[in-house]
Amino acid sequence: MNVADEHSRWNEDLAAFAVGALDSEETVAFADHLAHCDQCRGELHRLAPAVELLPASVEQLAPPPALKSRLLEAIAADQETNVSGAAAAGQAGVGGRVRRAGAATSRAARVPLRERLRGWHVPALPAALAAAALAAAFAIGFAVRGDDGGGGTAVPRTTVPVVATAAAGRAPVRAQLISDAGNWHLDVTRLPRAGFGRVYQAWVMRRGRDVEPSTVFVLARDGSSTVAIPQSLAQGDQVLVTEEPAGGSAAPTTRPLLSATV
Amino acid sequence: MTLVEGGEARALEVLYDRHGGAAYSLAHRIMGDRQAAEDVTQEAFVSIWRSGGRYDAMRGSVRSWVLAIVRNRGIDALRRASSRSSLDYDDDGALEAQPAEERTDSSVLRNERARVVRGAMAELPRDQSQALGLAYFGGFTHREIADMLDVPLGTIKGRMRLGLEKMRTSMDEAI
Ligand SMILES: [Zn+2]
Repeated sequence: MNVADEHSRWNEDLAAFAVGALDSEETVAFADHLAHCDQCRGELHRLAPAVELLPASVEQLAPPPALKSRLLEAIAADQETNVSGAAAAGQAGVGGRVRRAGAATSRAARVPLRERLRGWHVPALPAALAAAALAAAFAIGFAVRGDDGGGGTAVPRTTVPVVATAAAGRAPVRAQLISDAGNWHLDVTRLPRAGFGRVYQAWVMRRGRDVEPSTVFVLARDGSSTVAIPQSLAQGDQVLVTEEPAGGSAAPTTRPLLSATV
Repeated sequence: MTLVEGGEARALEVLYDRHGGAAYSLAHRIMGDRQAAEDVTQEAFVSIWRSGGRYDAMRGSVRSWVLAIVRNRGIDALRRASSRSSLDYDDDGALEAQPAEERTDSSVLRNERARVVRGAMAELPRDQSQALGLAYFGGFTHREIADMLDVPLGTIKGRMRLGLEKMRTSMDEAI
């Protein structure tokens, strides 16, 4: 198929892609086309405001006040559980190895924000990028809360190997996808620095679903990063990492460099 | 540690105060039921809290990031509950009024931008808003939609495209 044929074949699916109506294989194939088709990227960008109208078009209802109270209670309970869980694990001394692993992970999860943002050379950034970095700081603020007071939790962590694809070239990258008490994060080291004005972005791909954008990240000076994956992951779900323009993308625009299947 | 955690709980509360209404409304549209909508909304905000949300600041607003999480949670919940038949799905919901008691006084209808927002979708030909609604709010793939409506796949693709194009055009005209 020549380039024009390929474009017209995939362009038919552009709207379905935009509203999440492609199955997962089609989504990947479409994203692959998108990576080298300026025209489709342009059209998607032009239609994005219309897609955002969809959730805004529903009848606006006032949530019951009890919902907010329950949410705040759930969060308070979450903090409680983590603190007392840590204390219990410390006292009972069960599964020393698991506990140490948990402690190591929580240290990683508590890396101060400024450390995580070290890869941003903030003063040199254009204003828009600096604003994005500040916005990132706000978002990551949720991620860096201490989650267990340093003692680990009773829930063992799961480690999933991450594969560097051919697109990663010869980079000696090492990475792991880790679930600690049900919260997933990606530990990456020795990834080459993204190009100027580019960032890395994680994606979650599930069977029968469109690819979901996940965390946008940059590397610390040593080429490492700890990346929280906010989505809940089930067996068979895939986490991918691509390089994207600063700020990230709504859909992957380059081939994945890293891939992990839960 | 406690201070930081307290501060972040407040940050989440602020996030909820700003976007909880839109989140609940979208969840209600997807789930079609108050209790399920509350569950989905709570799940979405707890997941933001637990794992540290990260949104695409260059591309979209915090609100569209929150709503995308709500949509994904909602569609997940629908699929978990699934063995849905096409008959279960009310594709006219987007255009229907909700019971008056649930409406907010400061309904989005009151401001001009919101009128445009609702108008853009409401003015679509029914077959186009239906196709978009089944996909976005129902979580169906274009193939599933073609099957349930018993029309060719290409027709569904065309309706989605035309619908989005029309909404985009009417936004331009409104400005
Ligand atoms: Zn194309």
